[in-house]
Amino acid sequence: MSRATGVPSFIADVIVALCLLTMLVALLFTTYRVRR
Amino acid sequence: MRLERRAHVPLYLVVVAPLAAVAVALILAGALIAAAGVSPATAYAEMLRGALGSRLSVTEMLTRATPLILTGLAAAVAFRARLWNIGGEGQFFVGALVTAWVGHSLALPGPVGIPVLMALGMASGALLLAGPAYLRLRFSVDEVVTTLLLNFIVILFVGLMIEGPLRDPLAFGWPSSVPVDGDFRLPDLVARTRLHIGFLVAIVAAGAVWLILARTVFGAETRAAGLNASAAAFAGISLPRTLMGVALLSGALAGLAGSVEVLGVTAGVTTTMSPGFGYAGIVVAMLAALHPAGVVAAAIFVATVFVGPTP
Repeated sequence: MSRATGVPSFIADVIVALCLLTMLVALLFTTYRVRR
Repeated sequence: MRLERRAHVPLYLVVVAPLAAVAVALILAGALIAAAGVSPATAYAEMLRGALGSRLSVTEMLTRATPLILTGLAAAVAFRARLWNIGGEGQFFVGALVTAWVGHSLALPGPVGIPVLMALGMASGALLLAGPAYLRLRFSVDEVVTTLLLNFIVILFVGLMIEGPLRDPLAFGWPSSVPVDGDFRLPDLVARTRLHIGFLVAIVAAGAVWLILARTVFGAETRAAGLNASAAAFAGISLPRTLMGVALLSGALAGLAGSVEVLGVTAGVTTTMSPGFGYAGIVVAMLAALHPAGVVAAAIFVATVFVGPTP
């Protein structure tokens, strides 16, 4: 992909790191609900 | 607005949470790709083609997923008991080093030697985590710090060994350990590819971990210790015994990952043989919501992300 599109292959590390962060947020909303 | 703890987490939320997390992560990464002047759709299509577009790429992806499944299981087992094992990388390397060291000169036939070497890799990983677990139980030392810092110590030790007593004299100056004997290399799962039967070992390990966690007293004690340690202790569960058991199992799984990688792919040990399998195992475990079956799926996803962009 990186050769065909010019996007550095380090994007894989970015995606995996973002997955961890978004999963932690998702787990927060799985355990808790927002109440007014 | 305030956050209120759910009395019961519905099953659909457990399933939807990782999918939503991955979708949001891909959207955010897509914004970065777009900022680089490339259509995210094109980039992701190319990534999928790179990881799943041919027989070779699929087998490469599964080869990459193999250690990720095992390190993911290691993290999932430990995190379930609230034992924060960040040392998967070090346990991976120590398992790999012991396997290469013993496997270079072990005088056993292949079918006997392979399980022996895997058992040694598991034992070394388990021992490496037993230290921080003991320090936590005996002196309340934070295992996040000890396991994390042990990673660097182990990798420096591996560097010392492969520049010294375990240096491969036939590696043309390349810093690599002596390779394991050819009899101990894991057979290919698919001919003329790097995919080896270690992948099946990882799948069997996932099944075994599920069985242990879901169907044994030790598994119930592990879950209890993770959900509420005080209540578990009040119910008569020995927390030190349970946590030490969890530490040994978790370390053994990460050590097995290193052992399988040496026996199946690299033959010898180098300090660059892991692109962060231990750390990525934490991501795998979290994406899987600490469930062994989810670990397999999450490891395949993370392996797809790692293999897809490589040129």
